[in-house]
Amino acid sequence: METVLSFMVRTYRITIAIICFCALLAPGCSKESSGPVEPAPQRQTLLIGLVPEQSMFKQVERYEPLARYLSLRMGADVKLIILPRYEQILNSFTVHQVDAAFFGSFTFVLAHAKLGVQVIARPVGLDGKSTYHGLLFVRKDSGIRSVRDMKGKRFAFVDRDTTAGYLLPLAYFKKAGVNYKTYLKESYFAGTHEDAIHDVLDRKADIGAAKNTEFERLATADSRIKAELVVLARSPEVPENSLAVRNDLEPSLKEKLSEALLTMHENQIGARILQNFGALRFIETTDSDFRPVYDYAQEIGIDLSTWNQGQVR
Amino acid sequence: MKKKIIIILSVFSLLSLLGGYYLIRAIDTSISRFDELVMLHQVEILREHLMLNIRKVQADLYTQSTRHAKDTEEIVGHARDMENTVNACFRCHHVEDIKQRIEQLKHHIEKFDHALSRVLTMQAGEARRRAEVEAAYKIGDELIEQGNTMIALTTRRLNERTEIARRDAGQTRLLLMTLIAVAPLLSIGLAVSLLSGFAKPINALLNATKRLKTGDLDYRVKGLKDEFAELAFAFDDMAGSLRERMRELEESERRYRLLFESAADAIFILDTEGEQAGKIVNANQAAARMHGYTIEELLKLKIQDIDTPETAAKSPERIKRLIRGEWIKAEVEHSKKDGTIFPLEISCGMFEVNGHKYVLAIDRDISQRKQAEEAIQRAEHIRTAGELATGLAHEIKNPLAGIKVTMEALSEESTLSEEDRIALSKVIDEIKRIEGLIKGLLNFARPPKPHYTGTNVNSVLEAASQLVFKSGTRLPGNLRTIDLKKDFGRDLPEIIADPQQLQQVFMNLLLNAVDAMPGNGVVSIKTSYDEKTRCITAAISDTGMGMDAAIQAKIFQPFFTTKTKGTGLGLAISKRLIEEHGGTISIESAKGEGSTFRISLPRDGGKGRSSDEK
Repeated sequence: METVLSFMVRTYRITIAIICFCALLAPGCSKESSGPVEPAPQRQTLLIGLVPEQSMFKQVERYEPLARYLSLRMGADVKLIILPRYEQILNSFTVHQVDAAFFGSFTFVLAHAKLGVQVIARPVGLDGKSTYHGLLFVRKDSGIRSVRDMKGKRFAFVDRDTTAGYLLPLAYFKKAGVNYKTYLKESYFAGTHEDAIHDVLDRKADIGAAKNTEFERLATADSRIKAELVVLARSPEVPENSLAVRNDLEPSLKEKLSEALLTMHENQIGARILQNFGALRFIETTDSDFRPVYDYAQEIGIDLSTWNQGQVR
Repeated sequence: MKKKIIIILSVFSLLSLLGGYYLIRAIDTSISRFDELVMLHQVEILREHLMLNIRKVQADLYTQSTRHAKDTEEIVGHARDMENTVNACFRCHHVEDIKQRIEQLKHHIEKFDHALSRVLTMQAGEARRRAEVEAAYKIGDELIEQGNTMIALTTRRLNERTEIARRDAGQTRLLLMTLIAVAPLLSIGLAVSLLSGFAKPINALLNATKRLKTGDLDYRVKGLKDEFAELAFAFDDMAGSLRERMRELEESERRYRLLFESAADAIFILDTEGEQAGKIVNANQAAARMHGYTIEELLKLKIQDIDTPETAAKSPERIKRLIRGEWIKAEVEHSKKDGTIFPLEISCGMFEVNGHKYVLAIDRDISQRKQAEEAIQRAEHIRTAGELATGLAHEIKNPLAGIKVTMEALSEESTLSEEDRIALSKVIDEIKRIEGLIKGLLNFARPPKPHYTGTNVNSVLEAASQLVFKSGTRLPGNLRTIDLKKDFGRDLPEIIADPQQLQQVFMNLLLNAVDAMPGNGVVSIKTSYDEKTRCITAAISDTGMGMDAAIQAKIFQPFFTTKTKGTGLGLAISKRLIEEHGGTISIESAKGEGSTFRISLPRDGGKGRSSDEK
């Protein structure tokens, strides 16, 4: 019976193919009937920048469904641009005409200070938290348990403009009164939280720093992370990567963007996309929510206005 | 046959269906093969494209640390293209091992992406950077190698599939050509089989029909099967019914033919239309016998040919009445082949066969009936005459006797003159003649009872002839001489008869013979005896003037006479006396050739009668 059905289906397909072929051989018919084409109204474009929390490509993959959803809800073409480094997100607003970006907490603080970007929303994770904190970790078998053990070791930061990947180590070393640049054998910026964690796990570095959400995400897939790594220090809780728009963005567009994000969890499609994204919903976020970051920077002694100018890489 | 046709058509349909199915299946397989080939080509192109993208990314890596370094966005674009290309591979259907290979490839690409991302995002010392770049190169190279392996595999498979597809196409072509060649042959074979299946029994039935047409109703169709056997059975049944019907028809026809042929009455079937009106179409034996023709002769005649002129004159009027549908009964006269006219009673009517009108005429010869009627009429006549004569005789006899006696007494008177005496004598003679007439009348009306006795006819004839011819065998006269010739049969037996009455008859005949010859003549007497009929025949002939048929017909009627002084009772009385003796009297005569009266007397004619009287 299945053979007969399959045969019938194939015959049907062949017939359809022949009809389509005949239709292709008769050009002009559809053109004549379609009439003059109305010019489509110009759609607004919204370019959103991304920082490499994880591999650039994974990061893009993670945000693409969200971008498509926003396109649909806002009636605008929402495009993503991934930037290899955190600090480049600031330049992107002028170089690439980026309209908005999902900032790391410290990057936002910097961007807000320099460009006046306005934060509008941030995700609430599946665990119900809308904040994260930085972790400082080593391999359990490395024997490193304190700053004292870190002398002459290799440190994998994430990026200079990350709270978890750089401010935490700075605060950690400052607290110990150690200049890491001379104290450590080597320090480098792995570029992503994921790489910082993997470098320590794979013994490419001895110490690493990254955000706890990424640490937890990777630990879910790779049991070695929790089994073989040990956390030595934590940073304060800071807001999750938040969406901020340039300060001159058209208010209606900003409004639409804000509404689309904040109501996303209320519809089935949005909820499913949020689920895959790793969030329950987006919540409204303001600059004041970043107070811990400001405080942390201040605690470390960072001058936001001069940060990142002529720093050694 | 119906089953056979259904089976043949079913087999043909099934074969057609199977052929069609197999054909479509073969075409479908070929199309699938070609689809597969196209898909493999697409895969080949896709993998080439993938390789191109990988090489692009490799190139991006190479140029990353040079002044020709590409924009990050462009590099990311290349990497995304690479990813999209490998993801496209999953959209195709693959067998499990290929799918696993693609999974591995994808995993490798992800590793490559990761390595690339790491190179792009990392900010580290030169050695660490170089190590990461080289690691990425290495992954890229492995990827390229893996891609090449897969391309080689695809190419090999493509070649294999191409070969299979080509072979399948060849087989399909061969199959098509075979079907094109076989299908008409199969159709012709089936058609011939069907036609022969029809033709043979139809020929058999046709042959049977021809046999039936020739009248062979006993022929039976044999050797047919199925529905044709039923048809043959029905055909045979029909032939049987026909034969039975024919037999009944023949029987009926024979009965009617027998009725027609054996009918005592003449039956004619006459045409009524056109020039053939009156043509005798059919006639029976009685008709032929009645008219003296053979049937074949009658069939060449018209009814008018045998009608007398009087009857023929009335024919048109009768035909009109017949056409009006009347059934006619009439008395007519027909003439026989020998010219004899005889009376007929006809009864005829018209009938129609296939729009053609005919007359059916039934003719009955009424000659004897007419004769019987005449005889009855004559007997009545005689009876009336007898009664009249008897009456008259009684009334006249006594006065006449008185007159006679008176006249005889007067004539004896001496005083009478001779003249008166002669006159009285004439009166007395006339009175005697009247007495003779009265006596004859009485004799005729109430003949005396015969006294039968053994009688020698020759002796009676002799005595009679002697009385007539007183001088022997010649009767002399003044002007004439009449001779008597006697030829008496020897050994003539005696008969039972009244000799006195026989003598009266013979004398009457002899005197008539003499009277019939005004000049000289011969009277011949001849007697004979016929042992077979046991009858004595006495023939008395004269050589006188003879008589025609009309006179012959009336000669025995009373009061018919050709003589001036005859009473017309002699022959009537003679006939009556002979008939009283059980005999017959007849006349043979022709005008100018004399006449012969022939008396036939049975040997024992009066025996019974004499005993009755006793």
